[in-house]
Amino acid sequence: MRTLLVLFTLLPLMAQDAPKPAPEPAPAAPDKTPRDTGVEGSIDAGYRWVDFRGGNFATYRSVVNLGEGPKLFNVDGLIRSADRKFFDRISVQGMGWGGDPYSTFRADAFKERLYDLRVDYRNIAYYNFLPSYADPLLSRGIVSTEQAFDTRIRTFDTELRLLPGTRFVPYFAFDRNSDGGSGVTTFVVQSNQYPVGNRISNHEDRYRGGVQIQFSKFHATLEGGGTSFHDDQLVSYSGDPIYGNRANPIFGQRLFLSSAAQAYRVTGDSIFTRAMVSYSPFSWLDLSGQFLYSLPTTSVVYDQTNTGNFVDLQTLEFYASQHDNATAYANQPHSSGSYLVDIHPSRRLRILESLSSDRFHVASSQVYSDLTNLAPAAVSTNDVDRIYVNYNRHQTEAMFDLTSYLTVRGGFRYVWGDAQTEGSITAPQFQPNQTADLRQKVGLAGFQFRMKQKLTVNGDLEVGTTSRAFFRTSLYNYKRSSIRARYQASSALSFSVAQSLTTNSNPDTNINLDFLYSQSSLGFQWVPAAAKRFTVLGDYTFSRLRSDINYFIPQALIPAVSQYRDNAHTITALIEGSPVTGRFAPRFSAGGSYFKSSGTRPTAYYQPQARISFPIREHIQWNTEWRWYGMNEAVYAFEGFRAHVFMTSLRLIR
Amino acid sequence: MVKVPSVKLGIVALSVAGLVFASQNAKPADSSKPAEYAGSETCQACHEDIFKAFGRNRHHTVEASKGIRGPSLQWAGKACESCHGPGGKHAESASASDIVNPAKVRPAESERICLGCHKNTFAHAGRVQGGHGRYQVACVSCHSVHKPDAEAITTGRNKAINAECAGCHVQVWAQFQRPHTHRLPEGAMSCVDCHNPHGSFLPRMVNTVNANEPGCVRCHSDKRGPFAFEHPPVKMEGCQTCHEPHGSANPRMLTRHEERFVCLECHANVGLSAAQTHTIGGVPPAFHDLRSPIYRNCSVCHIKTHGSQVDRSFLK
Repeated sequence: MRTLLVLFTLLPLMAQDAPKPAPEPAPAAPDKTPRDTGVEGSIDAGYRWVDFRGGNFATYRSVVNLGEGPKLFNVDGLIRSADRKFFDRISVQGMGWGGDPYSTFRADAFKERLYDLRVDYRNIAYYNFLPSYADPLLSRGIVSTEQAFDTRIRTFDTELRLLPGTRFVPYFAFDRNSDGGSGVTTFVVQSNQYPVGNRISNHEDRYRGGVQIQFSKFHATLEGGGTSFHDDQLVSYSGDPIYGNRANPIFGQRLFLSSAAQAYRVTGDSIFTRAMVSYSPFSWLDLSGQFLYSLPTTSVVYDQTNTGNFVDLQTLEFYASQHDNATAYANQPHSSGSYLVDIHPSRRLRILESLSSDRFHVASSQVYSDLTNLAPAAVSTNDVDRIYVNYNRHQTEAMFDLTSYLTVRGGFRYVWGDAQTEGSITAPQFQPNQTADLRQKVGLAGFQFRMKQKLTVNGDLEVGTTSRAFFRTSLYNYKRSSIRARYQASSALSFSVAQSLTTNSNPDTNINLDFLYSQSSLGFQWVPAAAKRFTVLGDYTFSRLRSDINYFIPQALIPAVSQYRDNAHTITALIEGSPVTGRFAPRFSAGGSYFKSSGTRPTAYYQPQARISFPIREHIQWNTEWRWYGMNEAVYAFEGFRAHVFMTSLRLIR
Repeated sequence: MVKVPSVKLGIVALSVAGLVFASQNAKPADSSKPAEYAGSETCQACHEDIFKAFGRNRHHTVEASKGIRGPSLQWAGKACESCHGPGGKHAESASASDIVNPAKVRPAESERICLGCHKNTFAHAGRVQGGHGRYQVACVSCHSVHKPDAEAITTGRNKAINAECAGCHVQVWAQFQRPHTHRLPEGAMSCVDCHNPHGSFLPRMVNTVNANEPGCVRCHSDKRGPFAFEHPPVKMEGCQTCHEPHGSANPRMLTRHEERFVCLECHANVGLSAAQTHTIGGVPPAFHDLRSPIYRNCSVCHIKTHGSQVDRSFLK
């Protein structure tokens, strides 16, 4: 300890750089830089055709989902104000309007010394109807899914930063996220499941505001905010009896569903706070820390009514109608904090020491009431659930510039924590409480080699040994290594090589986890700046995943190994250029990507494309594009598809 | 024959090595002239193109910072030298060695120049858990200080960001060529929607939202909870426990080809108590007959896998 104290006392003496005096305040210079004004931008609009050549159209929609019709493919613009009265510049960008599955819009407005405004809107289709995902009836030849979505996820983010000066920068933000549409889900009653329609409707509003405080040695950001959440999911069915997934009668009776209505009404809110400070008392020392706190809560009202023929598996009694309702409440206080000490006692040495802590617990209570036509009165049950989690991480790392072109680093990380669940997520009668600890020691090493801007090599190694982990599949005795090199052969030609490897093993005889994931890639770029005739880009990546872990086959409790293998080749390439020169020379591009994997789920997916652009006049361009989407599943052959997609458009440029 | 003791030889060798090492890293001899600022107009005379482009870049605020209180006041009329250092000597000699070029100095030095003004960002405080700074990737590797802002819009912001990231993270971009991915290749999303390249409180630079919650719930707010009955791995280890957010050949970006194997790797029916397995979630045994197709797709019954507000077994 005494040695440490002496070392820390001596640290200031090791500082070679005296604090640089700030330059003398200069009188404001007249602004003589060019100030462009006016409007510039482009609009790209046209038509898209889809020629579906075969396969599963639902899978095409789940993976690609591009549709036919007139489209506004792209719009962008920049307005620069001449008088700069209300704004200096406004930029807008939009993409995929006209029924496309991915529509985006973004606008930025900026006025120097007054404000900076950002508005971002996205409307992303989430269509997912993949038969192999949840099709219990596959053995009967029915290719369907009982978990499907056809929704739109919309996000709207806006942030306004006020710039009255540089010392204090207040900001305000409002974000909204919503998901709405329809789908298919199962209505689960005791021993049978019935696929029924599902209406999805949820949204969250988020408000936040804060201030950034900036001084030469001290910086802080203080932020507070809140959220409001609503989820009104409705599952309903009414019509002819449906017999669900259970085909066999029970005691001579078929189970069926005649009507169902299942309504969730979830409301939630939260408050959150963030405080971050950084302080540089000396030129050789930076201190920073942050404290984060959130408290989300949810309240639930649930109502369920169903009629048909159902069976209570405990009493083996059949019943024709059921009415359930529930109310629940949950909250989750969550606090996190960290500090970082960044010491750079000399130009070549840097020491980083950090500690972070994250802790939360979830507490909930529920009252559930069940009434069937067999019972004279409803049966009510109370239930509670608790999760406590503490997670801590301490890391010390040193970086040293051995020479001007080689930096090495090394360090140590210790991760520890504990978790407890009260009222197990699985059957509570077996395990009312579960606890687990986390104890992990990690060694860190790395280097960066730089040579005259030509060659850069980064290497990184992390070796962890664990005595306790939260889950069976958690990182245990693991190694992570990566090496990445980039070589700039000439101003036009560059090569990159990367290799990464992760291994993880847990020798516990009940677990016996053996995991390996490696990736190797090679890429090159030929981008001549002067000629501007042709550019060529290409990458090839090979990845290999191997995972073995013990489990017991449930019906017989026979030990088995869950094996997963995935060996994948991915190629992406693009050639772009113009065969002739001149003002109205056409430009073309061709390339795409090709993915092929073998192993547990062999899949091939290719997306070649070609595009040609003809400048018709100075400000008009005609674009034509062809794409091919082809997917092939060796095991789940019914999920393959093939489709041509053609697009033609006019791009008006100002 | 003169005998040289090996110890002495070693000391001499170390001294010579030390001198060579020290000379390689010695600072250049102090100039007789003190460092002088030349002013941006002087820079413009030779670097007209850069100066013109810089006029349309946000950093140009520094140049025209008259009347602003605070640090940027110091650099009014000297925006170029706010990053490149005093340029008086360089203006006289026109030698590249007389001026600091942040793109060519060591990343740590380059970062220090940028952080002189940009220290108060999520970058600095978030660097605890990593970030590009830790790997000596300089700010100028990604950010163009001179380029006009308008250039970014011609290719679309999201696609431009993705191309920038993919330039180094080739392997990650390869994963996005798989059939089931987030919509980055289409340009509907960008890498920075999920990651903060400057560092984050969470591992792998994953963005946070609502102070300390994982950025995934920014778009998937219905998975946020808290739920009356939680599925602990979702809260404790995050979505990537079961999903490959960068892309997968498996439906729903799952880590395994069939749902049941995603579940069985934790719910392995091994051991009868957590004390035996030292982990959460492995018990109790479930006697489902996996030969029946119904039981091969766990979510057919356990539909609320991310957490349920109503049922402890996630059945409703």
